[in-house]
Amino acid sequence: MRALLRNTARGGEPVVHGADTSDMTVSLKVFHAGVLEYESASFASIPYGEYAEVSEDSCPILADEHKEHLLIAHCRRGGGDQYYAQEHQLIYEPGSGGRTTSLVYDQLPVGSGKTSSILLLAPKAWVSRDVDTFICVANAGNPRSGGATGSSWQIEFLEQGGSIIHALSLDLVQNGSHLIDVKRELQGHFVVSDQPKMLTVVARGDSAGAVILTFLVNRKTQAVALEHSLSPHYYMNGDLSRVRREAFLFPGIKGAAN
Amino acid sequence: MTSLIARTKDVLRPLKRRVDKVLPRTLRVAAPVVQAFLGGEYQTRYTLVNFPSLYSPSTAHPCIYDVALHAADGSLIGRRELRIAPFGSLEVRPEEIFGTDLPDLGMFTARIRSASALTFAYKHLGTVTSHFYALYSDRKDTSLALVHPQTLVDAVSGSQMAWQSGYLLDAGKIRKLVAVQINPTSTAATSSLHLFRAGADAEHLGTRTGTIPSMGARKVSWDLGDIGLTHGLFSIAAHGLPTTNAKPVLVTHFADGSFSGMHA
Repeated sequence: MRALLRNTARGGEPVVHGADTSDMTVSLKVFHAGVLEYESASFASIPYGEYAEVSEDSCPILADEHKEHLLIAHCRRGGGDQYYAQEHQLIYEPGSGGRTTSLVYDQLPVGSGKTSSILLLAPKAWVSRDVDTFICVANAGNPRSGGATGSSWQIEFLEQGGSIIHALSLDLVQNGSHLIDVKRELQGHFVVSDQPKMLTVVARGDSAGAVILTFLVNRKTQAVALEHSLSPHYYMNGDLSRVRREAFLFPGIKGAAN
Repeated sequence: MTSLIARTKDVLRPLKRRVDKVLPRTLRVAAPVVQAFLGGEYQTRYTLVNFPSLYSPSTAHPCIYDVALHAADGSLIGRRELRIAPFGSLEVRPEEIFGTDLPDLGMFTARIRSASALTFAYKHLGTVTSHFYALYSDRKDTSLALVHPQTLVDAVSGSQMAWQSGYLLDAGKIRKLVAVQINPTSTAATSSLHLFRAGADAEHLGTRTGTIPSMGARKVSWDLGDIGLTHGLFSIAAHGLPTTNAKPVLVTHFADGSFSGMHA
């Protein structure tokens, strides 16, 4: 895995005359299962137009391939501490064959306000004998009220007819990540064949600070596709608070679609 | 007289809002969402989902997607209505609904609507946009690329845009880059694509200028070795896009013949 942190114009817009072209400084924290394992207050200073790479070369703790890590990069420009909206790039290279998959991704900062709920709608999970889907939920949210840490999640796997094939609950540690292996979760609930079948994964969590990525993998060829999800505001522009509230009713009507 | 009309409208506006709250209304939908279709050596699938039912599960209803496929020259290959159950989804394999005689390149459009004109369960959703994902693969699923859509039919023109992708691509690993552009507007669009080395955006490499027919598509391919890109990071840029967010879909082919892809 590599991440390219960019100090450039955002989203391909040309540099506007008089725009802020100051350096971007980066502090980096690396967690494993909620435990801080590495911290650098001055990980990088990136001149305008350049990038810095986060990888096992620049951060050797990432070399452990059997351990998942959650990275929080705090990017600042100028002397202030305000959020700098930018899309950074993730690069995953499965195996040593030279193939890579990339995602430019815009992630909101770790918030300091109250915890709010999050909805995941992922109509993009395929499973077959060779193909599997992994949904990675990285919980960088705030502690829950009352000082409890972690984040409760309800996850449903739906077949195309709308029936719930399987459901599970997760309690994610704060500053930890969880990889949902869709095919493994569906063992005993869904029969896979040679032909990939598309399923929808719906998830509700109580931490809006989570980062959710979907990896589609052909285990035989090591092909990997990577994409982020689209949050509800991409699909609708109405009463988002009501949607977040009512969507949590979904497990209570299990079987209604049958 | 004008002031009388204005005052009358002011008086009636609250009444109209009250009536709107109780009257049935079908989904208010944005323009169709579009994405590239790749045939030939590639295989394309789209994922439609009955998202209003998942966002409002206690009043879930079936929905209809109106879908269409256009060839690269903009001509219509076919239109279909696809019904999706509450909480359901549909993996659209174009060859199964539009027939097997499909072009190598085109554009797919999808727009959701209520299955019933008499439901008002989803009024609180506001205007809904029919997003879906596209999965590009080879015929045996040995390579995979998953891409979300970026633009709608007749979105704002980007004909005067100077745009650079945020992606930095590795010329040491990629042998061939394919960029697919779609034009979901009612007029032909001209777009010029070029590559540039990271940090050297003034030097344009492999410039390819072309016209994309209305509702059509074009595919541009670079063998990176032919234009001297054999190592280091590079990116892609455009002068002129059919719409402001109609950025190309990129397919990156590697030395072993496999590929991946992303929205640029």
